[in-house]
Amino acid sequence: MKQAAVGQKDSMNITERIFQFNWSYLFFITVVAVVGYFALYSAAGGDSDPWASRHAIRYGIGLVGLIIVAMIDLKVWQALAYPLYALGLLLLIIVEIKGQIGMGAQRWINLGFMNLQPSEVMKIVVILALARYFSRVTVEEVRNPKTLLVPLALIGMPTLLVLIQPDLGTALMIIMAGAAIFFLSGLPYIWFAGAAGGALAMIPIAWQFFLHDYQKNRVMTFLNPENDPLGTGYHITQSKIALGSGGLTGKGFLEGTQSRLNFLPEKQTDFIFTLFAEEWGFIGGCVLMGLFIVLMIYGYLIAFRSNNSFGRLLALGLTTNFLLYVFINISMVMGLIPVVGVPLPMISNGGSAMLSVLFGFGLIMCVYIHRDYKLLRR
Amino acid sequence: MRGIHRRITTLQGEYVQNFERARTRFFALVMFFSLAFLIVVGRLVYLMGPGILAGDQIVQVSQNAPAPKRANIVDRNGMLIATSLETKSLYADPKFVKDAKKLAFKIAEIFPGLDASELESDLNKKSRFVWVKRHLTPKQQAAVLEIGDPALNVQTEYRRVYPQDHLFSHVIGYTNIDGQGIAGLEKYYDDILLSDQKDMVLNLDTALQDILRSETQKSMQEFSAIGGSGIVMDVNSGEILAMVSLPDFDPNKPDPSDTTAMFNRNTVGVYEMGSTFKPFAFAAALEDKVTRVNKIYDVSEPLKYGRFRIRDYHPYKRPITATEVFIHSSNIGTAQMALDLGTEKLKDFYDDLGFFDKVTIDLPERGSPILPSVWREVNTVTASYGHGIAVSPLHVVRATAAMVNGGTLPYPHLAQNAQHTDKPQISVISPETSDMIAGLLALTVEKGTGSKAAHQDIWVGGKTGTSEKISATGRYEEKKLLSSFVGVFPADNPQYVMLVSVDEPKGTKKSFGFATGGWTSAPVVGKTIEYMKPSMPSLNVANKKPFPTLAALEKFITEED
Repeated sequence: MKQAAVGQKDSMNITERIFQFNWSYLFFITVVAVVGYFALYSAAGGDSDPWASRHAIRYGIGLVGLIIVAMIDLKVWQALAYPLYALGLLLLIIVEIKGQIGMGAQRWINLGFMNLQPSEVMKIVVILALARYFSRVTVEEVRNPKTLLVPLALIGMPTLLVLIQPDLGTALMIIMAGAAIFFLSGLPYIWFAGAAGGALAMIPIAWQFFLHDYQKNRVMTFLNPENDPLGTGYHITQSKIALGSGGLTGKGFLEGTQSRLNFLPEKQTDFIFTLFAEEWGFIGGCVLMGLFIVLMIYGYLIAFRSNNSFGRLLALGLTTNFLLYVFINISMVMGLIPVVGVPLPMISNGGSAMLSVLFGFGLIMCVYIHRDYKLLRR
Repeated sequence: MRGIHRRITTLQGEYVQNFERARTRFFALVMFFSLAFLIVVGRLVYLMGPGILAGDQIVQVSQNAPAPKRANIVDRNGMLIATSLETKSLYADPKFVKDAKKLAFKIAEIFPGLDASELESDLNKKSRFVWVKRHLTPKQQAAVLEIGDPALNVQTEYRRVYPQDHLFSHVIGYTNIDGQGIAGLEKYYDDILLSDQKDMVLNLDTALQDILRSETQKSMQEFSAIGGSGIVMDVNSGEILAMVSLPDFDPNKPDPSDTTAMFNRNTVGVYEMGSTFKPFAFAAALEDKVTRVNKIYDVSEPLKYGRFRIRDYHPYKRPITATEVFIHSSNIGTAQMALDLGTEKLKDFYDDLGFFDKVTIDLPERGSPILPSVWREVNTVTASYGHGIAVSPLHVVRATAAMVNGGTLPYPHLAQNAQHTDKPQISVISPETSDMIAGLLALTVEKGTGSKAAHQDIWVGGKTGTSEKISATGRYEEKKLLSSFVGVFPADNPQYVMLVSVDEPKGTKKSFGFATGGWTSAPVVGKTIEYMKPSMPSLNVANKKPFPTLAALEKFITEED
């Protein structure tokens, strides 16, 4: 088996790994985090306290984590895929049971130094598990419905747990990232059409029975924000006004009146893109999106360059997951989709999301380092 | 399971297949995201484009018609709240402009704030009318006459003036420079104020409004709160005597972009009002006879309900009477009552109280309540103590009035000749239940959580309410409270209801770290009552008369805590 033509290596030492590290990818990741620092600095009214400084610390911790994750042998990650998935699921169940229940959503586990959101962890480990599963499935097998039972369960269990939290945004992200891996694994197109049809048919049922009130309100608000400008439509209307006031080059750093004067709610988390675009204008908004696109291209090229299925699916799935964050968040603040509470990765204030995104980047980097690995199917 | 040698021989083939399928699918995915990217950029152009084209200028739109005279607005004692003053405004007829540059320069010398180059381009317009400057001072008017240019003319118009500045901001609203009502009563009664030049008389009392505003403001400062609100209403007629929302604005120079200040918390804001809801659940249960004031409830264990655990703020390790459930604000006991009553009945009762619709009042700014999408038993449990359902403070004021006035829902109104009050008042509970609730509210102030609203000469009834605020993304925020107190007085013959809410108060040393309604809002109600006492005949009594309902209820307090 050693002479198999696929890939060239099946082991690497530390020096080789360091040598293979993709520094330019890391550079762009860092640039995005720096943009986040300044956006949060501005959100606090020109103060690194309380958000920007913590953002920097989190990035520092995450960066170390990223490098460690990347240096670990890809085979180890492959072996750990299911155990980590099980752990993620366990954490979700723990928040469900143990978390102090308020009257609504409860999503954290208090680790003492930070609040861990297991749903963020789940987004990554579900991709890890799916990548491992599909890396051992051939094209013929994919067409067999029985093959899909396991991955459907892998997606279904965390989705249900997240839904009852309730966190519709994360549930949808898990489903979409899972669907992307299904798609890349060669599941026939007709199945996706069927699933999409089924999902559309579910909407009225979900509306009637499953959506929480605030979720419905957001959808109604999305459909007609100006109808209730001082009520629930407030966020979207304010966000649009702030964007509209940005102009071509923006109002300048720390000059965004709409955002800074507290018209904009959640400016340091979900609506930070608005603040950024108000201050840096259309050009700034495009540059930030350009940076995300650069990270997308890197992620997909790394996936494409990988000589093993596991690495390829992993990098594809993780990059797609990252893009989902970006598009869902930006579409939300622009009023293209309802407000679902998804942060802008690497920019928004928030610990779990940033660490999970950096963990994902670490895995993509790991795929890159081990791109010439051959990982046997069994 | 295939044999080893077969796998080795097919590995290459499998790999190529996998690679091929990944490649086509991969490109499809990249196309998908490219498309998404294009849509997002397109949207960004759509949203930011107008700003780019306008060059970041804010264009003040104004029609040519001079601002008309609007009727005065006065309070119940005839105190002036809004009036129209005659002023002169300067306009130009560009047809007669000879040298726009020179003229613009001369005019700009009189009005330092005016941009000469902008004015010059205005004067070069093809139209026959451009406003140069609205509302001149007599000195400015003389200076303009001095220029003596035939293109310049002066027009008489009216300027809306609010002598009370901030005091009535949200209630009164404001007008634009063309004298059109934009918000508040000015908008709601725009037609009447323009057509009928008689003074519009409100139910508001300027002195009371002033006291309520300053007391609420003091509490906000003491507890470092971000906002506050207060309403005083006549429980029988629905006349609003005072309505305060803080932060507020000066209607003489409103800034509509400052939406925080423009926001009327009393009618637009909808909040989970917490335990101020308990009298409603209690009244429904009393009315339906599923509880009695002496019924015993076991509240020693948290009530488990699905994923929820219903706890008490001050846990009791012993069975307590319904009366104690009320005065010590037990969530567990109230929830049990609501469950005994049943979901349908509680829901119907809340519907009768008007919680399912926008509140009726003569203001254009009214927010829709937020209700559970599907009303299950757990919603009944939470709704019984004012969670999982968000209504405006005015909703609570109106419903509380019905709880104590003999059982009918009044129509809140600001103007004395308001039209929407003509409908018959609906009866929601019996006079007996109403009497009992008034007694329980009084007992709550005497012995329970509302003691800081007590008055030595007047029986005051009331209920505290402290709720955790839900954030924009639907998460509850533990430290962000809305702390309220709803008071009725005199409790032995209810005339007025007063609700005070303080938004996001923080505990102080003096309050031992508490930021609950009993600490932040009950004192505001107590102090305001003290100020009201001399001027209101029904309050101006020498001392408390015996209050039989209260005395009867006192017997059901089993033990002093």
